[in-house]
Amino acid sequence: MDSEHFEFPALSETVTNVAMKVMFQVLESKRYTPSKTAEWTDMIGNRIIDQMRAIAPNFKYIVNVCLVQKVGAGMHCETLSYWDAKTDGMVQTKYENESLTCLCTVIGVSI
Amino acid sequence: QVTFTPETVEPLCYKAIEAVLKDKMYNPIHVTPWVDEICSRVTKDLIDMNKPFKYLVSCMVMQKNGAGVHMGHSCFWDRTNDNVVVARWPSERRKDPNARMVCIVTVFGIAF
Repeated sequence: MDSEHFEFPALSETVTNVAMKVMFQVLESKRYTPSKTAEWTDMIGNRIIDQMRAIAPNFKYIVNVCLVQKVGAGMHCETLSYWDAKTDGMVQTKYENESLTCLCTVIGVSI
Repeated sequence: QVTFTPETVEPLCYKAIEAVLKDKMYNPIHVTPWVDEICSRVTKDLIDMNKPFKYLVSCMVMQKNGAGVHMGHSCFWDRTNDNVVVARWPSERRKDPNARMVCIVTVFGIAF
């Protein structure tokens, strides 16, 4: 049985929902804690990949998670891509609570 | 087999970061074109290397005021050919005692 073949731009809404749900599950009510950030970023990245592989297996996935403590620092983040714009894509989502901001970028590169 | 090597990519990243950010103060108006410029320079240098890779260049610039920051990435890809290079500035290898900003450039190279 052939698995369904997706193009990443068509999956944006699904990816956004998966990423927001996972960030909420991991970070809700948490305070920025330096000893825990590595564990949280791993957990978020791995969970998103597992869920996306189950939905759309025809991609290589990269999930970039950035956790920033909220103390008033200015920050700017950008990603530039050189790929096949028809099949490959990326979705950026943000989660915030009182103590931290989490920026999650989910990238899918067609196999 | 062509592989994506940190030894060739890291110098490109530092060259771009230092050309754009050295001796500058964090400025919310200018930071957007600075980040654009860093990403464009690194991408152009990567394309000029003429290797069979798709590239993702991510640049984060943050004001230095004591805030904690952690960046991580999880990847599902071909470990033989695909790779990631992270350039942190300033760092132990690229010191700059006058730096008023922190910059992290992450380059992903995915073979096709």
